[in-house]
Amino acid sequence: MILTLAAAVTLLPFIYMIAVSLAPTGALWSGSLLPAPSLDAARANYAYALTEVPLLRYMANGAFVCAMILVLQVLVAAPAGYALAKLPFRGRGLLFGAVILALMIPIQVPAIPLYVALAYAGLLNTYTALILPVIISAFAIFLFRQFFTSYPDEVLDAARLDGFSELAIVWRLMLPAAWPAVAAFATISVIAHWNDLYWPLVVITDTDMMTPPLGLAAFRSNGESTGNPGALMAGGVMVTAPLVIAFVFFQRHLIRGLGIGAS
Amino acid sequence: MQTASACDSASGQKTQSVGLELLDVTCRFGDVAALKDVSFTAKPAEFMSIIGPSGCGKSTLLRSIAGLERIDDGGIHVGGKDVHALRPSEREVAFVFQSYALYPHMTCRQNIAAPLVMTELSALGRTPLLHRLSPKARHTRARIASRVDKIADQLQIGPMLDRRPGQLSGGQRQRVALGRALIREPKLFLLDEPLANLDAALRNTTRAELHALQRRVGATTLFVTHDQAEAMAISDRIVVMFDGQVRQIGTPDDLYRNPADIDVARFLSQPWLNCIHMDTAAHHLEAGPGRPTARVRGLPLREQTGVVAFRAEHASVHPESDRAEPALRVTVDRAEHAGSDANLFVTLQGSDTQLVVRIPSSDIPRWPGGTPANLRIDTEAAWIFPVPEQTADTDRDAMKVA
Amino acid sequence: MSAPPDAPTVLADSRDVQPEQRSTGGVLAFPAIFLLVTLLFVPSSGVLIMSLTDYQFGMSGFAYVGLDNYRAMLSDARFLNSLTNTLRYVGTVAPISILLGLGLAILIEAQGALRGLYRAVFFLPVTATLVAMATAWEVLLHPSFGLVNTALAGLGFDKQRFLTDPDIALWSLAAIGVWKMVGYNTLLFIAGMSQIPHDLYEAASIDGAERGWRRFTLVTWPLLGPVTLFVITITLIRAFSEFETVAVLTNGGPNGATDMMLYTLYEEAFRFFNIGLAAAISVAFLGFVAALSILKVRLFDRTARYV
Repeated sequence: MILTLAAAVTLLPFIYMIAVSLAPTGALWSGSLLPAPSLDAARANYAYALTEVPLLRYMANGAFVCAMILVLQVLVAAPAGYALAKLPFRGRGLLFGAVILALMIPIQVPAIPLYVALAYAGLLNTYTALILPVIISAFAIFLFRQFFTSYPDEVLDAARLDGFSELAIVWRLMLPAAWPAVAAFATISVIAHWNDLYWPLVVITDTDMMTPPLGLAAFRSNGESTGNPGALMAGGVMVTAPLVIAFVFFQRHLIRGLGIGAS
Repeated sequence: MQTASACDSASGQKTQSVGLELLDVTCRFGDVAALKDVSFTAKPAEFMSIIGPSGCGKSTLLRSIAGLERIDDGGIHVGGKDVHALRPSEREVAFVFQSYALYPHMTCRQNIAAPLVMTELSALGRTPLLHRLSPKARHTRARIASRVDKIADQLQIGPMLDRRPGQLSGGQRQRVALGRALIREPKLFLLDEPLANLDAALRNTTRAELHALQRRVGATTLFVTHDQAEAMAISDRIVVMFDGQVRQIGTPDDLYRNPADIDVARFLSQPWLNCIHMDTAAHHLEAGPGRPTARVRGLPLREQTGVVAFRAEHASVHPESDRAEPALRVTVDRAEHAGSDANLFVTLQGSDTQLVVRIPSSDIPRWPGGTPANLRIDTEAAWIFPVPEQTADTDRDAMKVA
Repeated sequence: MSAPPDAPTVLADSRDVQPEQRSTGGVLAFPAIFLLVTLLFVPSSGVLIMSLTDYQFGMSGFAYVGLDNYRAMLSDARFLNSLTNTLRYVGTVAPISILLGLGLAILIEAQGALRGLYRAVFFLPVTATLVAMATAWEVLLHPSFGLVNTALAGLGFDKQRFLTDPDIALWSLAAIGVWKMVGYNTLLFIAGMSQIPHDLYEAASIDGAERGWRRFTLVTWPLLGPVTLFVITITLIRAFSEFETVAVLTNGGPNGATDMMLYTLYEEAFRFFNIGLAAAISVAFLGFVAALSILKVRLFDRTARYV
């Protein structure tokens, strides 16, 4: 009973967002709990969000940026995690300490100097500005190290005998074996960067370069004046949909992933 | 001069069998020496076992030869070629691990193909999908596939090739591991307790198959085991190691009949090696009217120091009344049935020394607990060893193979 | 034992294997080390230095000003207001979302068939884009035609200007914050509960604590302790870092009623280019988050040992 009520409250904004996105603006004033949907209004709202606002462009930007960030984060973190877990090298303890330290620094702290550097390099309003500052993930290094540590050493020896290079060991043995960790990290990374507003707000002012949350926020400040909540909600539905749909499909992995990420 | 063997294997012929030579190999972990001046030679196509108690360095030795462990001193020559500067994958050795060390996320086919994929294909050829672009890679892949199939036929694991190791039984995994070793056509097989994780019945059949396989392939093989019976059963020669040092090298028969010292003798005795102090033995054997001087292998016990040692199968029990021959007077404790034979455990009268005698299991009813008996020793099969208590120091001069 | 004639070279060369592996480790870790330093440690130290200087964008030089920026920060009316708001927000959102999360986790675990469905529902806000959801909340909370006000009116209450009334706006944002965080906390508690060995419950039922409160106090709660501490720290950090709802819905208004630390930092740094003050706020923000993180890492150790 309590659960049902709590679930209803949780779902309320989702339902309302969808309902408003399908209804004509006038229906909002009707006084009924949920505005009545209409096909024409729905078509108008979504068409507006897709044409008057470059929403597809935002989403393409978001997808590209998230994919690049994830790939680069893994490319950087996986070998480091492997070295920390399995290879003795000078400075290993120091690096691990640095990773732990880095875990404590929120992204907003180095933002000012990074902004200055990007501005001087003429990189504001570029993908580089969105991607570069976050390609190092201390959390990824830490997570991969934890997973790689339990990989059997005998299999690594076998791999070295079979002619695997240390890098080949990382890509062909460690990462596939640690795929729960990779999935967990991918989940966390994509959710964080698809939804992030702070950093895009800092480095992006050009409409063409905006990510979905930034574009939506910009749309909202205009949408208020034009009074088109239906189109705004349509935009919200489209921006939210990819992750929510992915969540429904990969729910088990995502939940486990965030569980891993948390513990 | 040593390039000949390398050329042979490069030409894809059946592996030329080569020998292995170890020269004063020493390996330290911090202050602890895991291997001390280990030297021996394995002849081409020879099947050599390395046995010893756990922690004696036998696995470290194998790993050093493979290049997985750095050696601090000495030299390792495979086929006359010094391999110290070579990476593990360049040494042309194959290694089968106790845990099999299969790649868990790959199918058996991919596992077996891995050594060839990693050494014969370029990075492009290894990349999924992209490899189709290169005709050469396609050709190499086809060749690797046919070799995998051939190996799988040999090992009778064809039907399992597309499963993952996790879906296989221990014996099947072991075969896949063997397949991965065989496909490299190595000059040297290094097997680290490959049978230890199999159940008893499977171990015996696999042991025989392994031996037959080695004969067929003809590769020089080093086989590490802690199970002396296993080593005795399949080896041409056996290296016995204690504390990181080679204690004795010989054929199974050598080792059985002429152990270099009491440690080796103990290691090769089931269920244990009987040891009696010289004086006690002499006292027992010479007790009674008209007994001659007690001798072992012709040496009068009264003139020796140390212990008399003999195996369970080199002694027999007789009724207390049967005093025809010199014997030790014992009291029966219990018998353990072991199929056709049985081990009879007895206590030497007048002491708490426990001894064991091999008897036919049909005789068990004749020897209930508490029965007094006479125990005769085959004095030509017994040994005299120095007192074993202070092992480390006395071992080195314990070269008394009387 | 006599050494072979070539012993010295063998000795020297055989050590190559090890250094090679050593350098491999360094090589593999190098990109990460380099990026950690250039993207994280150097800029973070830069902020620290900036907070002690009078640096401004475009200025070629700067001078050391000691703690002036911090003094300015502590006497800055906006910062103090923003800090107060943040603490009130955290003080509301954290306890409610944690207790609610724990309660929902217990209820969900006690559920049978619908367990997975409930888990998914409460987890949806975690994946959803907060900016989009904030705009949805805005429509829901609309002063004249929003669903909430329609409902209030239907029940005979006065309509409220949830986001524009200075007395209410912060609590409206807090409600959205709770909505967002409860799901994650619920999930963490469920994960913690699933790690409690089942035989402990069986033992508890033999000891007479079969159901409900007694079972909870005897088994669940003590074993959930470490997870709870973890949830507390992470919730505090997340609540402290609230930005989206402020930036999208209120811009800190009305009249600074919803101004919070991260939003203040953003505006001072990137709109007013008040670098000295912004750097000082960054350092203060870092201090708070790092203190909680240290707590978290230490608890993480404990958790690992516990479970």
